[in-house]
Formats: sequence, C-alpha cells, structure tokens
Amino acid sequence: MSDFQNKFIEASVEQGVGVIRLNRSNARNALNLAVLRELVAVLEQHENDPGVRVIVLTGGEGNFSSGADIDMLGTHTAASYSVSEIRSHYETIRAAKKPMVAAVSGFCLGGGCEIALSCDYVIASDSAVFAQPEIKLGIIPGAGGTQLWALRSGATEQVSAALEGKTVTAFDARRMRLINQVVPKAALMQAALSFAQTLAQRAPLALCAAKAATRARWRMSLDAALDHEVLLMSNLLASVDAHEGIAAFLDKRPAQFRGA
Amino acid sequence: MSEVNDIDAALSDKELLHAIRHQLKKGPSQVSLRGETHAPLSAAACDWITLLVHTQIPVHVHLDGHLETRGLALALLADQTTFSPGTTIGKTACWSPLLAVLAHRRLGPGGTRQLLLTDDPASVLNTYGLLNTSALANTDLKSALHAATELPFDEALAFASWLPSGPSQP
Repeated sequence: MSDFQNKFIEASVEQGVGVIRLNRSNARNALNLAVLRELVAVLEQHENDPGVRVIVLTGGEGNFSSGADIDMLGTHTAASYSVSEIRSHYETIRAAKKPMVAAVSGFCLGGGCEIALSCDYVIASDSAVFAQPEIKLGIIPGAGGTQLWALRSGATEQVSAALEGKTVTAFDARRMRLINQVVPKAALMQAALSFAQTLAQRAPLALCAAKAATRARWRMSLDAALDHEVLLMSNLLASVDAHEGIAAFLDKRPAQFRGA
Repeated sequence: MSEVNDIDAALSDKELLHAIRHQLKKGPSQVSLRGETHAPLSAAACDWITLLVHTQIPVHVHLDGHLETRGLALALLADQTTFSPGTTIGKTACWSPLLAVLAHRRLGPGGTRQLLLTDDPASVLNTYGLLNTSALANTDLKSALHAATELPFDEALAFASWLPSGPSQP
C-alpha cells in the first residue's frame, strides 16, 4: 500500500485500487480550485501508475461533496469560465481512462454530483442525496450536470434535475438508474473497495478499452462508435492478456492478467 | 447525538416540517412527536410526511386525547407508537387519500383495506404491530425495512447483507 498526502485530498493504493478521498469535511468537501488541483494531480498519478487498475473516488462516510465553493464561481466573468482552469479539471476527471467508482455518502450536489456522475459506477450509502441546485442560484450546471443525468436516467430525470434543482435520495437515485447500488452508510467504503477490487482482477487493458468503447457515443455517431469498438477489440486480440484469458478459460483455471 | 425534545404533534404543517427538520439537523438518537392531533391531513402535510418516511432515525410518536387523520398518519409513519389511556379516534379519521397511500406503504393492500373500512382503527394498528411496540426502533432493522420497501428484492437482500447480522441495540 502506498500513500500520498495533500492538504485536501488523501490518496492510497491497495490491491490494484487507487483511492482518492476528498478531505475538506469542515466545508462538506466543497470544491475550490485548490481541491480540484489536488484531485486531478492524484488522479493523474493513479492513471499513470500501472499498479492501479481501478480508481475509487469518495468523500468518506460524511459527505461526498456539497458542490463548488460559491466564491469560486463568483470570480469568473462571462468570458473567462469557458477557458478556466476549473473547467479543465472537470474535463480531466471525466476523461479518465481507468474505470472509476464513486463511493457517495451524504451531500452529492452541484459540481460534486457532476464528478460522481463522471465516474463509471456510483455506489451510494443510504444517506446520500443527489441534486443539481445551480438553477436556484440563477445559473445552470457547468460541468456536465445538464447531460450526465440523461445518460443514466433519461431525459425526464435530466430535465427535473437541471430545471428544478430537485433533490433525490439514494433510493430514488437507484430507482431512476442514476446510481448502481445502495448500501448502508457504515458499509460504504468496504462495499466500494470490495467491488473495485473484484473489477481490478479483470484484464487492465480490456477494462480501459471497455470504458473507452462505452463512452465512444459521447463524441461520435453510432456507426463510428461501432467501428471504434471493432478497432479496440482488434487491438486487444494482440495482447498478452487476451492470450492468457483464452488459455486460462480452456485450462479451467483463473487467468493471471498483467496489463500487457 | 443531541438530547431528544418532543415535537408538538399539533403544530401547523409548516411548523411541523420546520420542527422535524430542525431536530433532524441536530443528529438526535430519535425523533419524538407527542400530543393531540385534531388536524386533518392536507396537501401541505406531504413535505413532513416525506421527511419522516425517509429519515433513518427512529421515529417515536406518543398520542393522546382525540385523534383525527393526522394522528393516524403519524402512527403509520412511526417506528414506535404509543397511545395514552382513553385516546379516541374520529369516525372519519381514515377517510383520506393521503392516509390510504401511507397505509399501503406500511400495511400493504390487505391491511390498507382493513384500516380504511374499519370502525376501530386502533385495533388494526395493533394487529399489524404498530401500537406499543419497540422492536422496530432498532436502526439496523429500520434500514433493512426501508431498503425492502425501496429496492427490488435482490438489491434489498444485498443491502441487508451489509448490516450487522446479530442482535443489536433496541
């Protein structure tokens, strides 16, 4: 197990899982530039660490994140937000190549919700609440909150989230397929780590390829995404892991994937 | 955990919502409501009903005097309900669409029909174990029951598997 220590982010690596924990509990893990910088720096460390196959992003059992510090938004002009460092950090999180699991408890609001929904899986405690409350401030979500709900729950829930700022409980979120699983609050980290460790036993290259393939529709047509899928699949056939996976299946033994 | 102060069950809907919210923010060991409830159940009650339905903190209700629909609603929302001796329930207290929805959630379709058609709502509540019971004030059991209501069976089972399996504090 290795550890990184920052001011607002705690990070560790264990059994192939890189954990990123927001650690600004006195501000309900509100996001400011310093938090986002540290988060992205640790995320990039995990992305570049071959020992990390899956990333868990969490705020612990308290709150995932209450969203962006309001004063952070107030510093922007009409022209500056679109080219801001903040925007760039959100995009980096959304573009992570390795599978990401958000372990969510308590408030998961605004920018915090957008980060959670940028992950591939969302495991939430029964205390979690999700919302895009930006409309109540006279703005709209600016880091994916007008799109990411629809990808999981459809247009109906997306409209409610963006136009009403409606808060949904973890159980509501599960019913609308916004999240993958609800667990008791005390079991959140254990459940998320257990799930991530199971995922981390899959072939690393295939995991990243599967993530890339499933997200291809974010930026291309169905035809292009299907072509993209074929290319990714073709590349994997040349991998050591694919040979190992097929051999292990035929030998009726567990595969030992190396990420090569 | 902060000390528990009883909320007056006779407050207006708006005041009741505010009082319950205020108490929940303090992280109490339980939410406690007490008093007479002459009030009917209006649309304005939906907010505090939703709050009580979703709270993970045990809800205790002690009712006395003469109860109307709100009293029955509180009994259906509570984990532990007690009536003072001599408590009476209005003859039309069950005739409420909002109460029918609450009853369906708590008692199922059969129990709901019994409650809506009975002249003796207290006996139905008693039959379904909602009166003078304390076992379900256990937070783990409350969480499991809530999950069973909210999630598909297999997911509720998975949820419950993360909870302590042995006897825990009542």
